Amino acid sequence: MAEANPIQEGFLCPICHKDLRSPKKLINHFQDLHSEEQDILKSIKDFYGKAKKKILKLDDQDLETFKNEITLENLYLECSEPQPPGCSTSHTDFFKSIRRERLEHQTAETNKLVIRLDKLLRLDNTDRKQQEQILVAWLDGTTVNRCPSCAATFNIARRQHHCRLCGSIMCNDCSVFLSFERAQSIVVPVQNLGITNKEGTRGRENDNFRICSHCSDMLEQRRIVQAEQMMQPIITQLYAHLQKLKSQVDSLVELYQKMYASLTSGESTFQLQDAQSLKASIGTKAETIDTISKKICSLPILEPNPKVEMLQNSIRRATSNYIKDYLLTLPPLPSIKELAAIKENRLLRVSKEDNEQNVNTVKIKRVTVTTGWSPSSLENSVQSDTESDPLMEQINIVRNYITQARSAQRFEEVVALEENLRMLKKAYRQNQLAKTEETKENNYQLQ
Amino acid sequence: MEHTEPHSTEPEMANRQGAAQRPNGAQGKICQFKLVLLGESAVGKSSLVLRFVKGQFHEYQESTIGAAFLTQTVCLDDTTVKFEIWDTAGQERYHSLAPMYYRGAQAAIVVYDITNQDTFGRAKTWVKELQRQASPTIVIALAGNKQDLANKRMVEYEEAQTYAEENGLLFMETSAKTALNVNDIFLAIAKKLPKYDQNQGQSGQGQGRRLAEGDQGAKTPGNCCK
Repeated sequence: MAEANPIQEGFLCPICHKDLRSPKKLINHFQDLHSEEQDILKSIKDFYGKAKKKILKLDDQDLETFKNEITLENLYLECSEPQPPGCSTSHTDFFKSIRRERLEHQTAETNKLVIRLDKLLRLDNTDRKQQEQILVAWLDGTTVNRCPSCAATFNIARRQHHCRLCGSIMCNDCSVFLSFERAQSIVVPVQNLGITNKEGTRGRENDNFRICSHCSDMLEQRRIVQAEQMMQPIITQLYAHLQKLKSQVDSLVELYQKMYASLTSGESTFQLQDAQSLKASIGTKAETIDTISKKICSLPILEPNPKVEMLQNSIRRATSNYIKDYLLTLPPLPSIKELAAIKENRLLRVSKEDNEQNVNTVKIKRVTVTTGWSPSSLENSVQSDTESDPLMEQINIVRNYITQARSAQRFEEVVALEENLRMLKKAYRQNQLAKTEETKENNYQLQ
Repeated sequence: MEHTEPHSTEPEMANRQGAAQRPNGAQGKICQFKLVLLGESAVGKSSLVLRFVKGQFHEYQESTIGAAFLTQTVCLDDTTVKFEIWDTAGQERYHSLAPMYYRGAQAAIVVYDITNQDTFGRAKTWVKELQRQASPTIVIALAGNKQDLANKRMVEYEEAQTYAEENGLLFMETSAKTALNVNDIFLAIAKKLPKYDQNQGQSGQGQGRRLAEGDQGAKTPGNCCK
């Protein structure tokens, strides 16, 4: 019984029991061989029906061998069903070689155009057309009946024009005009990058080169490539700006902390107002930083690239962390009253120390003061000396500097200048003292 | 390979081979029918056929690729019925091939899995498709397979029974594993097939019927094209 019932399996044609191996082939086979034929064939078969019946056994045998074949094919089919990916070949090198060739050709052509352009630019305006034609051979126009780019026929109204760069022919509508300025900038590329990005304007011919669109495209391509090479992506630019601001803020914050420490310990090196304005400027800078980082984060991503997105997000996160941790935690400044209290404390402390240290000198001074000059006379002498005394002049200048530096928020300088001022004042005082000593001496001698 | 398993349900089976080769064909008619099995994948179409044709059951029956073709002969009274069975692949990607196989088929068994409601829904769509596109005289049987898993049943017998009655289908719940109703359903189909209408002089083969049908088919397009 088994031989009567072998199992055929696969993409069997329902009519001829042939295994076609794939659904597509089966459908094609069925459509090609059996769709119309089916009915006709059946009727033909009808004639042979009886004869066929007689050789049924033979048929069965045929079928048998056929089925065996099929099972072999089945085996093949089963083996080949889940196909592993075949061998793969890299065509990158091939592609690169083709690309290199093309690029080289392109560059050579473009360079030729640029060199010609350079020569054209050097021409003086007299006899321009003749000279242009010497440089670039113009195409003979007698056989050209139509514009090669728009296929319009040339006639009196539509005249032939020549590209000054390659000598080809086109009509006025198809010509592009390259201004001398732009040509200059193409020849000397450093000057122009990214400044003029307009295509050559169509219009007058006087201070323009008439060129064909082909040459224009080549030059334009060159410009784009150059611009791309020079230009940094927006995100880089923004980030550079961000970093610059950050470093500024860093130095400001350092200064602020110095100021804060000094103020809270009661010193008078810095002024409270200065610190306040500094803090405000840090605040505004922080705001700018924040907006820049936001901008970076919301930059449109042209090609979906997870790395770019990640970069943007992490810049934003780092910046907000920076602001949160670094700028918002700046210690608040003491109010004027608090500051006064602090100063008083310090004064007390300092004076105590001073008292302990300098009891003797103070006493001596007092003695001299009480016995020596009268304040009124001293003042007078000071007043009179104000104009003439170089030290006083110097002091005034330094004072001016300090106010300037303060308005420019250069607090380091202010500190340095104030130190200077103190030195000057000290010197001045000593000078004055020496003077009064002198006068006293004189007076004494006089007496 | 002898058909060793005694399918006591049909005693006629014992002499089907003899009937086929009976020399005096005048008495015993031979009918050949094309039967196609349709249904969702993994409902047990191939198992059903394998049980019917070879009396075997494989616990891990591999899924059919394209279609499988088997034949089995049964004897019914004095008639020998040869089934040409097209066991189609149930996977959705082979769906487009099905019309090729049910085209011209005299009988179809639409199989579903009683433990899976979805397969019953799919069976219904198969029935619909057959009613619409297959031969109008096709005998359709609905087989609720995997009856041995009745404790996991998701499709009620009554539901399927009602549906079958409404659509004029033969209906049985079968089990290829336990051989329940497997031969019965094929026999029921064989009985329902219009073999007696055949003019037996023409041929002992079911071809005769096919050809009669083919004649009808040939006429209609002939009229419309000319």
